[in-house]
Amino acid sequence: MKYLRVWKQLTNCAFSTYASNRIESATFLAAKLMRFGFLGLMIISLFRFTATFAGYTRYEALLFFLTFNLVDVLSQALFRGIYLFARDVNRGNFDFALTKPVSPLFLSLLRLTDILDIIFLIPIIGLLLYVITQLAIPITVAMMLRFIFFLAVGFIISVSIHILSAVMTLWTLESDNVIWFYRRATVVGAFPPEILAPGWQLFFTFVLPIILMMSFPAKALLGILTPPQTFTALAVAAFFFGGSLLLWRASLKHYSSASS
Amino acid sequence: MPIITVNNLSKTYEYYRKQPGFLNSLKSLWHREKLFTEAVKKISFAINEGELVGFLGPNGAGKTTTLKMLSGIIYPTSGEATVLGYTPWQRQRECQKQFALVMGQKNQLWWDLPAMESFILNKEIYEVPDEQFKASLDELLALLEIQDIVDIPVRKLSLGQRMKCELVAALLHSPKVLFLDEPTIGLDVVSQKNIREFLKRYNRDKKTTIILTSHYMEDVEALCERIIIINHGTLVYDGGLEKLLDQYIDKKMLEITFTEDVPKQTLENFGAIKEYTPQRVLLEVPKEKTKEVASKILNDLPVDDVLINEVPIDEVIRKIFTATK
Amino acid sequence: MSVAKQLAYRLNLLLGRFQSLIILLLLYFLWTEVSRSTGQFAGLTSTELVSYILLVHLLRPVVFGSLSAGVADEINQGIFSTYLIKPMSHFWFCYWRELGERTVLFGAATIEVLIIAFLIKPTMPLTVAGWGLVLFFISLLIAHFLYVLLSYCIHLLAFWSREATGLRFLYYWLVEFSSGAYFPLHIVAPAALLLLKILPFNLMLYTPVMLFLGKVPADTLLSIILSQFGWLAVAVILTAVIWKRGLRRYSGEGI
Repeated sequence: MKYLRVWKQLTNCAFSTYASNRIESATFLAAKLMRFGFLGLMIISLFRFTATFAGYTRYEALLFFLTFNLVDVLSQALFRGIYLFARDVNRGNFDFALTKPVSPLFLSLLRLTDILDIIFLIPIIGLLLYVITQLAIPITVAMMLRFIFFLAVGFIISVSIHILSAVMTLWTLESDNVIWFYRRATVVGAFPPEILAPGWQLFFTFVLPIILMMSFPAKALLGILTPPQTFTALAVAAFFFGGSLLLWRASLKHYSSASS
Repeated sequence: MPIITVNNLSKTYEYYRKQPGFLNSLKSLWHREKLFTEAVKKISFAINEGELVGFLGPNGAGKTTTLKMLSGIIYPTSGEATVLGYTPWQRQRECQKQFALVMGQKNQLWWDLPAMESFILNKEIYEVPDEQFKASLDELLALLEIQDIVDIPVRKLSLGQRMKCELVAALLHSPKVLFLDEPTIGLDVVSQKNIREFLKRYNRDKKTTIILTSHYMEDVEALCERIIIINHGTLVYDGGLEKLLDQYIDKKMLEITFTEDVPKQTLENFGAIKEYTPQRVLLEVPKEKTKEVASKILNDLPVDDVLINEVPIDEVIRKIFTATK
Repeated sequence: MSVAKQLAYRLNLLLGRFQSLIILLLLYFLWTEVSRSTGQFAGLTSTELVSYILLVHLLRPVVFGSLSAGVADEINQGIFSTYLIKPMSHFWFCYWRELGERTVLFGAATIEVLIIAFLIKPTMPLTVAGWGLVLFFISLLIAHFLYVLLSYCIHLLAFWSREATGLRFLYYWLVEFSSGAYFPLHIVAPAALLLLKILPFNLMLYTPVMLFLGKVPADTLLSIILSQFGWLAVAVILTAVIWKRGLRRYSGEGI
């Protein structure tokens, strides 16, 4: 309850900041639309020359693409604060967070909620629903529930990766390259995972679980996820989430003993 | 029962040496030389409720490090401390709700927003009830006379106004202990004075325990009855300002103007010459001999006027800093 | 100095390379996948597609840069003033400062491409020779300066607004896609292609790479090179105008 109130005020602050930087906000949104538009254009253009892509039809490929955007934009919207984390640490703002009666992880993760991204979610969800109706399979409630469940699993992995990025910042005190790296690498999730060689599929499932985060929800919806895969997804998500929290605690201790 | 106790507190930092140049950068990819600095060495003291204590020391003396340990931002290498009965670096919520930290060179206010937004954020973080929030806010704003600037984005405020807003943000939850790190740094003389007056009054009215660090003597002189001097990580003095002056000031300054030229050699017999022009001299003499020397000069030389002055306090402090190297 | 700084940030360098390698990897699998059944896609054979993305990876650090220390940040923070009193053109100062970083990145990209080429053994046909190769280098050089000038202009917009970060982000994605770094531009529908050809960004990667692959019809060569020179001239003039006006505004604020 208290955290909800703090988050509300943080979001309030973030929104006022946006309102006072209107040009900036508009250009950021335009940049995101541009990335969305170009990647979409690329996928649609592929189908000008071929009927299937890695064994998927056009609408199935678009389903992967839109799911990728949904997970990506949602974590962007909520955890934008992580992109400012190195700056906060270097300027000493994080020191203030440590003296406050509130979880410093909570403050750092949710420091900046991006309203524009949340608005951007609306057309994405709209397009997603349209694509789902165009699929060759009948829509069922179970299918949608599976989809939402795996979206949640993906979201937990996303949270863990953002925590890990903060962990890296606390150890190196350097800029936020880890999170930018992650962000650029996620583009892998925009395409059906089957285009990758099997070894790389394993890499992007276990080491950098982009496939779990972004492709599994779509696969679950299409009903092509096997029980072992489901189990794997849950295990990896639990491992990442638990691991990132443990590492966060250790880093906080390290930061507190090493910083000056 | 003291509100803050510090017992043999020490902090050692590790860092790496980094040579400039291309080859050395390449080398540092493989091997880095580890170095240690002892920022704070076995400091002990206790502070009672309602005290206003000044931490004095030159840059890098360990003042900020001590303050950061007391506010729980960093762990000590060894030793113990309690604030309000809690160990600060365990960062218990109940403890954190009862103190506040203000750092002169860093700000916790949102840069692009009016200070009011940050105040509300702190209200939610510290769970201050609405009525109490309103009452403390009105009171603080009135005391600091900044009612009309809380709606202006922080980046547009002057440094002095910003500092006042930082103080409001820190005091909204009525903390029992307030840590101030260089609160007047970079401020103009008028703002410095305002902040000092506010702190003095707040301490007197609310009985809030205040610890402030500064390397400005004026801060400490104007505010603190008790001062703790830290130099090179060691505590060199803990006690009243008066006592400090008694202990360290063993000289007085005689400023004498003459009606006619007096040669320098004649004056050298009376004491150490600090400044000299043929008709005016500044002499430093041992405190116990002041009267004796003054009357002798009055008798022997063509004196127009004699002034007996204290040695400036910052000079005393400088002396302590250099003596304890 | 900037070479040394680059190496000190070991983690960042490593991550940066790793990141471009992941994109390369993705594109490699993507384009081999789509050309698997027929051996070609949109007029390019599988080998040509692989050559295309390897070349893009190699040329990225030659064309794209970051103006490493961030001219815009320097303007916002007022550090910029210190350059004005130095007896050196600010543009060339930034250019040389960035060149160190580009060299390191180009060296890394070369090693990466060599290793990958060794692993996948593409039979890369060097279809162009003689004049074709000369044209490729000319167009690459122009691409390089076109990018540098335009990104310098974007950074200088900080003279007018503190809020130019979003614009740089927008520019980044615009260039990334419309230069052909992700896909050969001609795969898109004709209308979209026309738009991409009107913009100058196709000259940055797509055009040099297609020249190298010998895929540019001989009758359009002249117009392509001419349009490259034309855009370069536009960029030079634009930079001069923005610099002059911006400076007047900057000093006007009395920072």
